[in-house]
Amino acid sequence: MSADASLPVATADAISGSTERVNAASPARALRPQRTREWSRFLVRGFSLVAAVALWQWAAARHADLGVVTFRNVPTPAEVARAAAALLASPKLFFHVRNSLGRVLGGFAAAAVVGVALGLVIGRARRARDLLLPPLEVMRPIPGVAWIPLAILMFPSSELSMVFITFMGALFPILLNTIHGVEAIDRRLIIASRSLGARSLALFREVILPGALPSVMTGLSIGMGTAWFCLVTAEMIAGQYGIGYYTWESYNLQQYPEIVVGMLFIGLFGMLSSALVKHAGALLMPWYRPEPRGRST
Amino acid sequence: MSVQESVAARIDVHGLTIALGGTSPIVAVTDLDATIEPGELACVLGPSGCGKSTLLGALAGFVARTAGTITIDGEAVCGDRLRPDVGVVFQQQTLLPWKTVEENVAFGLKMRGVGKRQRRAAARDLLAQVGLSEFATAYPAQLSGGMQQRVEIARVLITKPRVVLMDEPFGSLDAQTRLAMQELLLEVWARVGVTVVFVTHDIDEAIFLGDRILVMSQRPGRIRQVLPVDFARPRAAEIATSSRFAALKRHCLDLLRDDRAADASAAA
Repeated sequence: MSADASLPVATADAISGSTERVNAASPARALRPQRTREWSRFLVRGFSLVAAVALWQWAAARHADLGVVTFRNVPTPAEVARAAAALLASPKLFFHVRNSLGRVLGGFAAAAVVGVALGLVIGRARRARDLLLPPLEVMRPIPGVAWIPLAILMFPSSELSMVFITFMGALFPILLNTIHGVEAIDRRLIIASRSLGARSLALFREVILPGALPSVMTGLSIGMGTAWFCLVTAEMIAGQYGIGYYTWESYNLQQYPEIVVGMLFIGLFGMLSSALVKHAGALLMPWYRPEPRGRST
Repeated sequence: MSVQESVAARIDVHGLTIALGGTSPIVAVTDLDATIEPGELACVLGPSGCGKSTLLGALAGFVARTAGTITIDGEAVCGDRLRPDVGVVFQQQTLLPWKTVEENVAFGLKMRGVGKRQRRAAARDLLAQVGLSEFATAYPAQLSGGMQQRVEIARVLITKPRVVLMDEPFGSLDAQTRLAMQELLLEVWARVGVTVVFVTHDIDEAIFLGDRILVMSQRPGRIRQVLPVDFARPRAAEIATSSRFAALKRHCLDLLRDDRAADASAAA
């Protein structure tokens, strides 16, 4: 009986879905030209990268002086590659990476816990908002880096002061995005869930938390970027070991190729940690912008 | 196919007045009386902005009354307190995007502390009844609008409510899907035997679905006339071409138009 009645529904849905199927079929037909187009784009991008390195090599090798900027002390890519190989072989690399990673992860994790917890409470309860947000709003425009001198004075160990600076850098993007995520949840979802029996704690767990999650993940990935930025600066001033410290020490010792190696490592680790956050987001939110599938059946 | 043993409830509304908004309140519903019989499918028909959604919200308990009483089986409905035996289907999709279709359907049971295996079985059963068994593990965003509304209906029925309130649930669907959904609703309702209050501004929909049509006036809303619809059930889409259907439709149109004319003359 239900099969009969649901049949026209299925056809109606198939009709409404038919335009998408036409669209889905056309890329399949156009697959080959598109693939060659992909290849040519890939080649162009590769060429652009090689050209940039070549330009650098040319300017550094000739010690080009352009008036406002000079390449007199800039190492060539070949020198940088040699310095990178030396660092990779050196036992010091492990200590630099371990120290930097430890500080970033410590500051970032603390910022994630504090930022998400505060954000959820502030986004949900007006009283908490009035009570907690004003001092945070005052501190928000102060960049994490500006905390360096005071942090050194406040914390007995320079290690803790650097973790604190990364924490301050990561906190606000995480906090603000979490608040925004909670506030942006569709009220109708909350009403519908409540009418199905969801009460305070269950509502929080089943609706508020997952509803805010996309925005929280955005905050975490921005926070990860600012954490690295603040860490490197803090290490230049207060550090012993660490990639930022390595970069600054190389400048003081006039080891110019090593400066660029340090920069490249900072970029590499920043990129890797952002990718990690993004990957965690995809794992936590399989429902978020998924590929349409199973429509045609 | 299992038979749902929900008991249909009777709804009584007396002298209901609802004023919305704080400083300069708008009277959405005024001195409204209505009775809805157990197991009835009652359609509330009215122009947009006449207060029919407000009425539904008051029945569900998430819109506060200003005056009057609402009782469901003699039990008063309090403003701002949702009843567990009343299910609501909204016009816009309100499925939780982060839950699969099956988890969405099982949600009401989860909130009542029913075990995982039991609520899964119940959800599968209801999904079969609305013809969506293959989509149990899909996410709502992967379904078409009509399919999402079928999930909404299954989700509301799983807790075996005694009243289902529907606020223009098919309003955003295309004509063909809407007709299919109306037929599906009638079929499920015939099986479950629950009291349904169905709000719509579509005259054809009200006649096709309803046992009775409660025609509302313009704002502030009250019941203008109650029309019995005596087409035999099960109903087929063909009744829409019958002369009786046309006569009823004309009558509804006149009622809605009269109201506007009366309104215009009152304003002048």
